[in-house]
Amino acid sequence: MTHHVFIIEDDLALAKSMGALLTSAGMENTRHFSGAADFLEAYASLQTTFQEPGCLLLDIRMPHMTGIELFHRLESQGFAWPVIFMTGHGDLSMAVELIKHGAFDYLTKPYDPMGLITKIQAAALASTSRIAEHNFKEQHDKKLRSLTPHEIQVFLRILSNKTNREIAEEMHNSIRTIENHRATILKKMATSTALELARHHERYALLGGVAPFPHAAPSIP
Amino acid sequence: MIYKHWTRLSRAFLGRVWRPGAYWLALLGIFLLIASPYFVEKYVVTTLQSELQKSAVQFADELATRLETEKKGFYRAAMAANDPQQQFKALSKAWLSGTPNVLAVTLLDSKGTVIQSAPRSDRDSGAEYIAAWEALNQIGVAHAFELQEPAFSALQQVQNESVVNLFIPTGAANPVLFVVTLDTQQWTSRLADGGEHPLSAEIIPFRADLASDYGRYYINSTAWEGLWTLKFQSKNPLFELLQTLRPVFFVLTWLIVGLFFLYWRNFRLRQKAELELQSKSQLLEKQNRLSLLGEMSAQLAHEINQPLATIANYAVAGTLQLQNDDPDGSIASLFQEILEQSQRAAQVLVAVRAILQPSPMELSDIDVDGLIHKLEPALRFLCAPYKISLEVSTTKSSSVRLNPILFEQVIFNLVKNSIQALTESDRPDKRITISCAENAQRLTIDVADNGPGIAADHAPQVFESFFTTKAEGLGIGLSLCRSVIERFNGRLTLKSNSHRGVCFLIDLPMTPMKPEEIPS
Repeated sequence: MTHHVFIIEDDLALAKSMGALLTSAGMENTRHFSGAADFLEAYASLQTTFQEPGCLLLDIRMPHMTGIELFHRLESQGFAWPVIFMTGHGDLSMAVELIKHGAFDYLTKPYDPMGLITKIQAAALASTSRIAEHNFKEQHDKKLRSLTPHEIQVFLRILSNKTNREIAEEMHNSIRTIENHRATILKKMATSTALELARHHERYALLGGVAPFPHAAPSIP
Repeated sequence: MIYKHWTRLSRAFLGRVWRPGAYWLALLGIFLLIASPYFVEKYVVTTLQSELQKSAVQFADELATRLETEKKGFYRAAMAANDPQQQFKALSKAWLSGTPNVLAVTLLDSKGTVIQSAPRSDRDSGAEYIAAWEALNQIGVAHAFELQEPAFSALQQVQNESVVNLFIPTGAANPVLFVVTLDTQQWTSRLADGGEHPLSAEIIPFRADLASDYGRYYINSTAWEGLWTLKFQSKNPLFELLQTLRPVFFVLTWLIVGLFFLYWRNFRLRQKAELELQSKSQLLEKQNRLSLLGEMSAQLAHEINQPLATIANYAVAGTLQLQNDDPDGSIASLFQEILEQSQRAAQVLVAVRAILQPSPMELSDIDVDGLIHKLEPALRFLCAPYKISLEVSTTKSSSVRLNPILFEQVIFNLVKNSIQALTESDRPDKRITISCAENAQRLTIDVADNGPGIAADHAPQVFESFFTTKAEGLGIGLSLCRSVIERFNGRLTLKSNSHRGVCFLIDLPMTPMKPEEIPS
């Protein structure tokens, strides 16, 4: 199955030529949007497509909404696909800024078409893991939200590698209660052991997840 | 009105005739103007003084001759008297009645004792005139005895009268002296009474310093050297007038100097300011071309790069599609050629841009209101020849991250556009308004004019590159302005457009204030 390539470019001729290029290179699932508004309009209906591998080619210089603005907007909505920027005047500082903000790559016009193909392929490859990561993050987040405040307290102590007895003493509960909580938490988080739970949460934190705990919880060591 | 006229005239003079040679000429003229009261006074005083001097010398000669004649008369009569004591009565009577200026006649012996005295009929006595023995009297006495010739005493004040004693030796065997007391007021009375003489005279005690000034003149003739001095005073009222006016002249001179200095300074300052303005607006014009050249090259590069990229894409797409049915690869090599040539053209653009934009644009936090205020005089200067009034209203200082030179160019270009639009208008109140407003961390700047507006079918295209309605324009001004403002993360839009004028809107994000800058 070939991956998706979405092109957002206001120059129709250039976009069409890119479509032709990518089709020739075997990427048949290309789609062109003439601007940010066009893309955002279709955004909601494309949610299932975004679960498949693909990448986004984004022109920086566009009327009404620039590529950077659109990029920030997508980021905030949890867009998982890698984004490759196309810029007419690529100064280094701008490129650094883009990469720092999470852009996958950037191209300076005029680019080498073969280079473009290579980059798109790399991005599509990366998109699979990105989507997976994104999904994991979202699910873990959802699971964390299902915990009750009391369970969160116990959860944080489990992460600090404390035994049931220690937790019970700290929280002035019986050991039995804590044992029950531990079982519920492991079930809710869909893990079998505390070690697995800790590993999942660590991965979540590495992916930039911030635990949605209501109060400022003690940080995880 | 008069001032305006004068200013225009003097400016025309200073502006056109002002050359290094004329500079010194003008300086000389100004010096003469300042010094003229002094020279006029000097001339008048000199003329009058010489007139006075002539009359005074003439009078002094007359007096000397008269005194000499009188002296000789007295002497001859005294020498003829063999027995002075016997003849005293007759002689004194003759002298008192014969000469009007004789106050008294006295006879002295060799010890200086008064032997006989005869006053004029209206006087009580004559003795007191010589009673006041003074050193200069004694010299006269000694002179007369020793040299046997008549001698004058110095001027003396006796009973409020200025008198001079004339000591006359006699021909008698016993040495005695006739003393004739002369009233000096009588000598000058002729001048005092007669109106025809332009001067009055007075006999004053001897003075050696004869410096003359305003209408006064002193003469020490050989006939009375060391005894008294003849003082003359002109009756000409001009002397009085000049003397009174002297401080007025003084003040007037300095006033002229001061006024001229102030005027001169004002003129120089004005000239300097004007030159500065001129050079500033010239500089802006030059910067406009230079700094926008970089932007322009970026724009141009973008416009050409797009089709070049398109060509390259199609070339590669063609190559890829040919892979299976192009056994000898001859068509693929054609596509390769197309790709290489499009890349070559793109390289040229990169090289051109590298030359025109040697360094990346530097952005810094700038107080935009301050910047606009700094620009205001130059813009006003730009508007002045077209009789367009410029109104600038700004908020308090607001900081925006931008490049000041490029931002100035944007304002400059918008105003220039407005001026061009207004030159087509024939309304009398041509006006350009720049107003800043602050709203929710954004700074908006309106640049509006009351010109004829942009034609409705042109309005959507004004920001497009290479769109223009001007015969000599390139159509990149507004599109460049927009791309510059976009570089500052702002927007440039056409806010309103009607037959009553055009308003462009610049919308910029303001730099968030640092915590210590937030007013409490």
